Amino acid sequence: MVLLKYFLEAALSACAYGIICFGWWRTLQHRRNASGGGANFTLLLAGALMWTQIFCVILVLGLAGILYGSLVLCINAGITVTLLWLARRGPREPRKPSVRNPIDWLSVALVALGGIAFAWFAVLNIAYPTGAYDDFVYHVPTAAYFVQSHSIQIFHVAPVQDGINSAAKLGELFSVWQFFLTLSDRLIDFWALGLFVQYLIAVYGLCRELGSSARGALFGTVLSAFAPVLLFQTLSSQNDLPMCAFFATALRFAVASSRGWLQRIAVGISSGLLLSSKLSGGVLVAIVIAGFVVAEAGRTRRVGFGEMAKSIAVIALIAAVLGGWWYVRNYRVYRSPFYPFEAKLAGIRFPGPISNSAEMFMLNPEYSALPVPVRLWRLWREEKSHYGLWLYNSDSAYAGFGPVCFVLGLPSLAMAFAFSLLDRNWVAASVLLMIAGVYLAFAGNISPRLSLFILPAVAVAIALMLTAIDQASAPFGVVVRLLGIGLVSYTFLAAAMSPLNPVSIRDQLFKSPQEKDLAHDTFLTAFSAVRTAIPARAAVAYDQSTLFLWPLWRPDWNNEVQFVPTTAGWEAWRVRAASLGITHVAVGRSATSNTRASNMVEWVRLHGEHFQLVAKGWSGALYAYHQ
Amino acid sequence: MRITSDRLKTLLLALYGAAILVTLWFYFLVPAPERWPFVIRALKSWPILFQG
Repeated sequence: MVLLKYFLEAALSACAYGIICFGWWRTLQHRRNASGGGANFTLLLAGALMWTQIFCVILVLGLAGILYGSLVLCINAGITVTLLWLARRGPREPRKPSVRNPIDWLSVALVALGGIAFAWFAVLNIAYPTGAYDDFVYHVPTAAYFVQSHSIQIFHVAPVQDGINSAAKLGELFSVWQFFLTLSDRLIDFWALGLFVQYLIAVYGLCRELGSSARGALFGTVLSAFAPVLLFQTLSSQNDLPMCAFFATALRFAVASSRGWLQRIAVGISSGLLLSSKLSGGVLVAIVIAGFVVAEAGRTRRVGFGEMAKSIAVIALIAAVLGGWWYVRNYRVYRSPFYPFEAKLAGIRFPGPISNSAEMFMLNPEYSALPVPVRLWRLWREEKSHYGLWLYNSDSAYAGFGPVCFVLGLPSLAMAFAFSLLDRNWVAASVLLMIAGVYLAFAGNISPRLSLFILPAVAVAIALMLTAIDQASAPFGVVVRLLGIGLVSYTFLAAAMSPLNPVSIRDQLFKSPQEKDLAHDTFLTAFSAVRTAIPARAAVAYDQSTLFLWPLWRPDWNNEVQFVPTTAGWEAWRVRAASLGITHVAVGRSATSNTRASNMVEWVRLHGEHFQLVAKGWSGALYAYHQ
Repeated sequence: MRITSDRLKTLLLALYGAAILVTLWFYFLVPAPERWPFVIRALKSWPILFQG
C-alpha cells in the first residue's frame, strides 16, 4: 500500500509535468509558422520551456524571499492556463497522410529494450529515495533549506557541506518543485526521469540535424542512453544528467536547419539552464556557440559579421540572465565565480581551494597519476570495480560508460569524423571534434559522471556510421545493429541491480514492511529509521563530524537542521544550543571534514544525562537532547 | 591510382569493422579480473527477484 501511494504521487507528478509541457507545445503549435522546425524541434522546445518556467518561477520567488509552495503552484498553473487559453483557437496543423514503412524489427527490438530499461529505472526511482552520495551531503539539503527558509540565500553550514552555498543550482530547484508537488521528499529525484526523456529527444534531433537517417538516429540515441552511469543518474538528484540533457538540447537547437529568432531563443534558454547545472557548464556553452557559428555559416549563405555577432549576443544575453546568478553569487561571496574550483578565464586567474590536479586526485587517486590516454583507456574498458564495492553506480570511478561506448563508440567517433570530412559535413565534423577535444582536455574526464557530455557525441557518431553503412552494405548494417542490441541487453542485465541489493529490491517491491529482511536492506531505506524517528518541529543540531545531512530531515521537512560546531567547548555549545532551541543532536561516527574532529562523541559519553539515544545505523546516531 | 571518395569510404568501412572487432576483443577477451566477478554477481542476482 505504501508503494502504491508513491506510484500514485509519481503519476500525479508526471501529469503536472505533462500539462505544463502541453501548454508550451500547444502554444508553439499555434506559432508553428514562426518556428518551422518540425515535430522534434517543437517538442524539444516545449520541454525546454517547461523546465525554464519551473526554474524561473522558483528562482525569482526564492531570490525575493517568498518561496512558498502554494505561490509556486499557483503561478505555474496560471502560466499554463494562460498559454492554453491563448492557443485555444490556434490553427491546427493538417494531418499529414501517414506513410506506412515496412516494420524494421531491429528498431522495434531496440526500442522495446530501451522501454524495459526505462520502466525498470522508473520503478526504482519511485520505490527508493534518492540515492547518490552527494545527494545526501548537499543536493537535497540545499532544496530543504530553500523550502524551509522560503528563500535562496547563503546558509550557515559545515565546511564539508559548502556545496550548499557554492554549487550552481538547477536540479535543486527542480527538487524544490517536486517537493511542493507531493509535500514529501520521497520522490525528490522524480524530475530526473523527465530529463532523461529530454536527453533522448534532444539527441535524436541532434543526430538528424547532423545528417543521420531516422533509423541511424534512433539506434545512436538509444545505444548511447545505455551508458550505465547515465541510467543511474535517474536515481539521483545530482546535476550531471541535467548538464548532459541541456547540453544536447542547446546543441541540437544551435545546429538546427530551421534558423531564426525562435531558434536563437531556444539556444539561449537551453544554454542558460546548462550554465545553471554545473560550474563547468560555461565550457559546454562555448561548444554550443561555436556549433551555432559553424551551422550559421554553413546553412545560411552570405551571413554578415554584424548579423552573426548580434545573434551570438542575443544567445549569450539570454543564457547569462537565466544561468548567471550562481556565478554572480559566488563572486560576491567568494571573490571567484567558479569557487571552489581554481579557474583561468581570458588570462584572469580565479583562485580556489580545488585545483585541477587536486580535483582529479579527489575523484580517483590511482588514475590521476596516469597519462591521459592510459587513464581513459582503462576507464572506458572498465577494468576495475569501484573500490571493491560495485561495478556500476552513480559515482562509479573506474567504470560507467558501458560496453557500447567502448566497443561501438570509440571506432564510431574516429570513423564518423573521417566520413564527415569526406562528405564535407562540416557541422558534424566540427561538433564531433569540439566535444572530443573538450573531453580530452577536461580534468573531470577522470569521472564518467562529470563527463557525461561525451554521450551526445557517441550517439551522433554511431548514428552517422549506421547511415553510411546502410548506404554501402545492408548486411553489415544488420550485423552492427545486432551487436548493438546484444551489448545493451548485456549492459541492462549487468547494471540494473548493481548499486542495490537484489534482496532489498525484491522486498521493497513485493513485501510488506513487516516481512522485509532488514539485514539485506540498503543504506537508502536504512536512513528511514532515523528520519521517521525525528519528531515534527524538532531542531536537530549537527557538527563537523556529520557528512550526510539529508537523513536529519523528516520526509515532510517539518523539522529544523542547524550547524552548531563543537570546537568552542561544551559550555559554549550548550549556550548556543539553548539559544537555537535544539532538541536533538546528530553524532557522526568519524570526522569527515578537514576541520577538527567532533567533540560530541566524547560529550555524549561524559554528559549522558543530557542525551538519549533515539536511532542509529546510518552514518552516525541521533540523540534527543535535554538542557 | 586515384583514390576516389567511394573507394576511401569502402576502405574506412572495412577499417571500422576491424576496429569493432579489436574493441570487442579488448573489452571481452583481454583479462579484466576485477570486472567479471561483479558482472557475474549481477547476472546471478536476477533470480532472487522472483524468489519467495
